Amino acid sequence: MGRALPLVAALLLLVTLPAYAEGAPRRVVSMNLCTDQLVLLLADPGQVVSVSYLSARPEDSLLATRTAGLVLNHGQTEEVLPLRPDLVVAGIYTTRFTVRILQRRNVPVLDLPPAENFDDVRANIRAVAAALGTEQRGEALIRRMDRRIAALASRVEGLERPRALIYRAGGFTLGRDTFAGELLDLAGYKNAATDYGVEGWGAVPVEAVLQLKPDLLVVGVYRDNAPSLARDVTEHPALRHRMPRIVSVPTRHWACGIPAALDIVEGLINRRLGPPGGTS
Amino acid sequence: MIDETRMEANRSREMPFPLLLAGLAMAGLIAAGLGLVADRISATALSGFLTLLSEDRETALAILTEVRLPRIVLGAIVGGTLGLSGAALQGWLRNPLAEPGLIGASAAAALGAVIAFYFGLGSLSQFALPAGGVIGAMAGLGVLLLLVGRDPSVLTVILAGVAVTAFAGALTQLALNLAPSPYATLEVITWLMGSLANRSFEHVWLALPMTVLGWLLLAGTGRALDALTVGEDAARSMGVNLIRLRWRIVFGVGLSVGAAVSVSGIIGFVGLVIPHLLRPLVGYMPSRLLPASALGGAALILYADVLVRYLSPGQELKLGVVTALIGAPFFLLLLIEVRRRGQ
Repeated sequence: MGRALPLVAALLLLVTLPAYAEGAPRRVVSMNLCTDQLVLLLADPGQVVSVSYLSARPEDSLLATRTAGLVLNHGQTEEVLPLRPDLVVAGIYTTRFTVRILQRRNVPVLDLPPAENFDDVRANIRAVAAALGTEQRGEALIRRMDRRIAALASRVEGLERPRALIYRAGGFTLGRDTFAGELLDLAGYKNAATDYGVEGWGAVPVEAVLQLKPDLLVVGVYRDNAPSLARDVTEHPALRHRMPRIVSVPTRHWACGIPAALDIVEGLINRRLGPPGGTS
Repeated sequence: MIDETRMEANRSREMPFPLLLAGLAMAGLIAAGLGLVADRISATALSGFLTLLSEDRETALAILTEVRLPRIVLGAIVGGTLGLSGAALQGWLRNPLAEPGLIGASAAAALGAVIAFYFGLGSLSQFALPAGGVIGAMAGLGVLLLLVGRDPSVLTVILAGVAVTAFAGALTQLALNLAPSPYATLEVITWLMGSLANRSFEHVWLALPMTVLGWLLLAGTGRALDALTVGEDAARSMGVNLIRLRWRIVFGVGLSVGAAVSVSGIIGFVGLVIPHLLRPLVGYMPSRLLPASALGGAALILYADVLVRYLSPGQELKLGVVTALIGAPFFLLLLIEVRRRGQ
């Protein structure tokens, strides 16, 4: 038995022959839902040890099926350190306390800002791919994403741009300078939040939504719409009576800057008000 | 008889009853009007709305009838319930400090409503929300009566109320923490301090049946409460059935406060302040205090709601903050008064 073990290990190593470069990290831990998804997209099998617990939830993550067998962390130091990570990937606004301790113990940490547009997505993909030693996979992912962006953009080119308002639980909207705003723009809509003076993230009371009169209300649905007072705002009867069109979009699709967010754009284009070239 | 001169002094402050009710109703209507015409009570908000009314009448009317009106109607229902319940509880327990918030009924109602709302009981029936509030309020009152037992002294009732409130508040936060919605934990303040923001007529229809039932039960207690002012034995000799009175009060408060809290959260001190301010004006008669306190409570909530929108448009202050700012010092004064009289 004692002699067979190294042999088995060697065989396993052959089977999962890593594509990553010499010196690439082999024990990667990611602590943020959005960085988790980039790491899962770009890493080789076996390169990732742990992702955040949110990534295993299908209601939050698009890649929940890929987390089988991984340790799920909650961004706590005592969870991450025993995994002896040789690379930790974190979002710049979360798990700050843990990141500081890891850095003090000389664990390499890659901090990623949340993407606010597709340039940020490209930069984040390149940064993660470089850290993982899978640069080619990163470039391929970017090429596929850019081809899809071009195809989607050509579908709405020259069409009239109806006004749409993103409306999320609690009465919050996302303006032009956000990733969801970028998706709305790509789908060929004008962002009605601009008319309310919101370019980033901001609150829009129900009565202001009635006054803005968007052609389309894009309601963000989080976690299967479990009941909450915040959800009641997007379900206010006045909106149901007065809005010409309401579509629901699961927010897991736009919460993170990953190529799969383009699925939303595709869905929104498919539900465009008028037929191609027609007047709506 | 009691101190003659004091009775005289009391009577001199008494107002003609119909005039008092009309005045309170008028105060409430003015507050309702203020709440209707502007989201923020300022000149620009008002002129902006008038412009909208002339340029886009349909949207302006939709804002009036579907967004602002339900909020005002709900405020009147909740305030009326709290004022009426406070007056009934003070008369029944003959305790100047009794009110739904301080005796724990409101906190227990919020617990019941939170459990019904966040854990999807609403998919069984819409009325799960007010029903949860009512069951919670009744359970809270039941525990209170068990804790108080045969010694309903002023202090025992308040201490038992503190215990019920603390326990129900902790369970409410626990329930919100375990709720499936990621927003639930952020909404604890709304449940513990109360708010009328973003309420629609759906909430009005949910709360109304059970609150009205509670009001009817409480409205019928006036004569018995009048008799009770001269003591339990005297009341019994006047034909008052004290057991039936207790059930009427428990069910009346449970139904109305339970349903009201389920759509507004806990708004404290209304039931304490209003009956006290109005008691001299109705000549210390509980039967007259009941309707007057209902109107007064409604007016107070409506003014408080105008105030929160004025002080903090957008990121609104919770209603319970305003009522506590008014009510807590008042509570302190009453406590001093009770101690002074006790010595």
